[in-house]
Order: sequence, then structure tokens, then C-alpha cells
Amino acid sequence: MRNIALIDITHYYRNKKVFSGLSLQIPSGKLTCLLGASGSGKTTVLKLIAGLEVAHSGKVVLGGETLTEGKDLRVPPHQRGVGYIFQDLALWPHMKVWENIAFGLQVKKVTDYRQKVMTMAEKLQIGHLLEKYPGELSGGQQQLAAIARSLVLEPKVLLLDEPLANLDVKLKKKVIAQVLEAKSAQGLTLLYVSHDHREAFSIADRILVLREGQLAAAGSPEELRKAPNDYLQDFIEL
Amino acid sequence: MLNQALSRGTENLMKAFSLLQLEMITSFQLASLGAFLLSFLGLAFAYLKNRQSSVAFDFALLLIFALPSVVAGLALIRFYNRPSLSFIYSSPLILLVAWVMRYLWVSERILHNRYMQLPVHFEQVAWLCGASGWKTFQTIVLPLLANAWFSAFLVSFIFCMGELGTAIMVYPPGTSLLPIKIFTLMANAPQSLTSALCLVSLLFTGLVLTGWIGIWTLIRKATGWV
Repeated sequence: MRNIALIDITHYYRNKKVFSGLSLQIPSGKLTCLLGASGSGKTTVLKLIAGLEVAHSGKVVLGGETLTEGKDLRVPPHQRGVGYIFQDLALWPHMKVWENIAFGLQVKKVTDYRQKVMTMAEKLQIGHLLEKYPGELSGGQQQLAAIARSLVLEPKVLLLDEPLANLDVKLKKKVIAQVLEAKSAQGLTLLYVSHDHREAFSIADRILVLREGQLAAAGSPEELRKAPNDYLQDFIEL
Repeated sequence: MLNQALSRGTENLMKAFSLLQLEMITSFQLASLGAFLLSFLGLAFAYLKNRQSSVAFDFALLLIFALPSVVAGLALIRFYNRPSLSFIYSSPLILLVAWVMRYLWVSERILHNRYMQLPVHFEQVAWLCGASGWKTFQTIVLPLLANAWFSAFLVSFIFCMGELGTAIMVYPPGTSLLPIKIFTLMANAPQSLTSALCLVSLLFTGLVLTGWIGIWTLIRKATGWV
């Protein structure tokens, strides 16, 4: 089980308080959407889980294991089994697509990395793009390459920071379908940050809504539709 | 300059070339070494500055860069002209020290500005993949800074080739550089020869720069660096 729990998190960014006692749960094997306005702390939640930032106090727990407690980083980012897809995708422009995907496998000294790269690329239908550079790909192809780079390391948790924000609806659906397929196949826990409530309500198993660093609402899309609170009603115009 | 240099056909040019032969080789060797030092130190300081911002250090480098060349020369003489440091002061090392001291701010700035443009996510993805700091620097950061490194190298090379103010005060016996030689000869040489000396110096620097750019283009093609 790879439940994620943030417990009583207090965090500052450049002396500004981002979270004050934030607690939230992300269930294992589900797609959880983190909704909120700009500056509500969505990306910071992902970075705390990935270990790219450390909270000033509170605990981050993954599958029962404490990753950080206060400023004590107990499990380094690369040992957490967490994949992260950034909003800008962060594909390395000087490496071909296959080099981007293979990088993590090579670092971990996986011997049959070529085979794994091929398999993943075929699964995401980007096998014909492996010899190209990221700059030669369309937006959708770049998204798939970034997803392949994360999934090939077989993470238990995949964090997606608005990776589809710049895609048109058709491509967005295609990429989401690929992510959902990977979720089912690998039993992934997905945390998907979005500011698009329609997208969140259509794909999520569970939705968390952040407001100024506090959890404003949590529940399944049906639960939130049936009993929206004032903020949620205002934010998503239910 | 061109008219004067060619006023007696190629005679002045040939004479200037033979007068400057040794200085061209010495200047090329030392300026190349200086440029390598400056660009590598600039890279190291740019990387460290991005990790640990130090306004005081940056300001100190700027201040040294802004120093008049004569003042920099006097400072070097005052500091290095002592028995314990004579291995630097009485060798071409003093010229490298002078150039590094004077121009480190420029190379560090060029590399730092490029580094600031790289999204931090590039490195974070590598860390999440399990890459060490060195591996990340070597495989992600360095190739993406390569062009800026070469720019820093070229600019440093040009500065080192042409520097006169400090070099003339500290150059050791037996080591003469292009600008120093031209400056020395022009006092007694006819104007046409002085022009030819300048033209040869200019052509030589241009030729070397073209060579560096050619080598760099080949390296880029071979490595795929952007």
C-alpha cells in the first residue's frame, strides 16, 4: 500500500508561511486531483512528497514509512519510488528521447535498459520518436516522452504538476488515457495537480481542494458535487 | 592602418611578421592557458554562486575588474615581489595570475547568466532518477552550459591577447607578449612598420579565433551539445 499522508505540515517559502498545520491523505492506487487557485500551495505539496523541499515541521509519510519529520530528511528523493512530471516537462534538450528515458535506468545500472526503454516507448506509442530530440517533438509527444521517462523507473507514486495545461482537448484525452492505463497496470498512486476543475471532476477518484495553504474540501467527485461547501461552490461554480 | 602597412608592398608586413614571431607563439600559448583557466574558474564560481549566492564575492570580483590596469599591476608587484613568491613573480605565472584576477568577473558573469536560464527542474529530475551531484553536473548542466563556456573562453582569450596595462608592469624577463612588443617597437619604428605590426597582430588574433571556433564547431557536432 502506498498511501501518502502529510501530517501537521508547517512550511515557509522566503519567510512567507505557505502551510500552517496542513494535513491530508492520498489513497493508494487511486487518482487524486489537487485543485486550487494559483499560490494555494499545490506544487509545494508535490515537492514535499518528492523530497525536493523539506517542511519546517510536520511529517510526510509514504506507505507507512516516514520520509521526513520536521527538517529531518529520512529518505532521499531518489529512494522514495516517486516519479515527478513537471509543468514544463523538463526534458533535457541536449539528449535524444531515448537518452531522456534511459537516463534513470542507466544511473541505476539496469542492464537491460534498452529493452525497457523500447517496451515503454511502444506502450506509449512513441517508439518512432526515440531518435529525435525533444525540440523536434510536438507538445503531446513531449508529454508522452516525459511520462515514459517517469514510468520506466516503475515508480509506486506519480506526481503530475499540471503537465497537460498547454495541450488541446483531444491530446489531453489521449495522454490522460495513457496515464490511467499505466495506473491500472502498475497499481500507481497518482497525485495530479490541476486548476481545471472540469478536468479534475472527470478523471479523479478523489479530489482535494487547497485554499491559501489549507485543505478547503476533500472527497470523491460525487461527494463534492452533492455537498459542496461555500468556497468550493464559489471556486468551481458548481 | 591598412594603407600605411601596405605602403611599401608586403615588405613591412614581412618585417613585422619576423619581428613578432616569437611573441605570437608566447602570446598564443599564455592567452590560451589564461582563457582555459578563466573559463573553468568562471564555470566553477558560476555553479557555486547559484548554490550559495555571495553578493560580497561578486562585488569583489567586479571591483577588481574595474581597477585601472596600472593599479592592478602595482598591487601584484607589491604582493608577489618577495622571495617566497618569486616562483610566481619571476615566471609567466604572474601573467596568468594578473589575467585571472582582472577578468574572472567577466567569465563568471557570462556563465552565471546562462546558468540562471536553465530551469532548476532539469537538475531535480536527474536527482529523482538517482543521479549524484557530479553526475548531474557532468551530464545535464555541463552540456547545457557548453556554449556559454566557449563564449567565456573566447572573450577571455581576446582579453588576454590584448592586455597591456598590467602585463607591461609585471612581465618576467625573457617573456614578451604581442602588445608589449608592439608598444616597445613603436617608439622608434616608422609609422608604416607600426601599422604593419598592428595589422599582423590583428590578423593573427583573428586567425586563432577562427581556429578556436572551427574546433568548437567540430566538438559540438561530435558531442551533440546544444
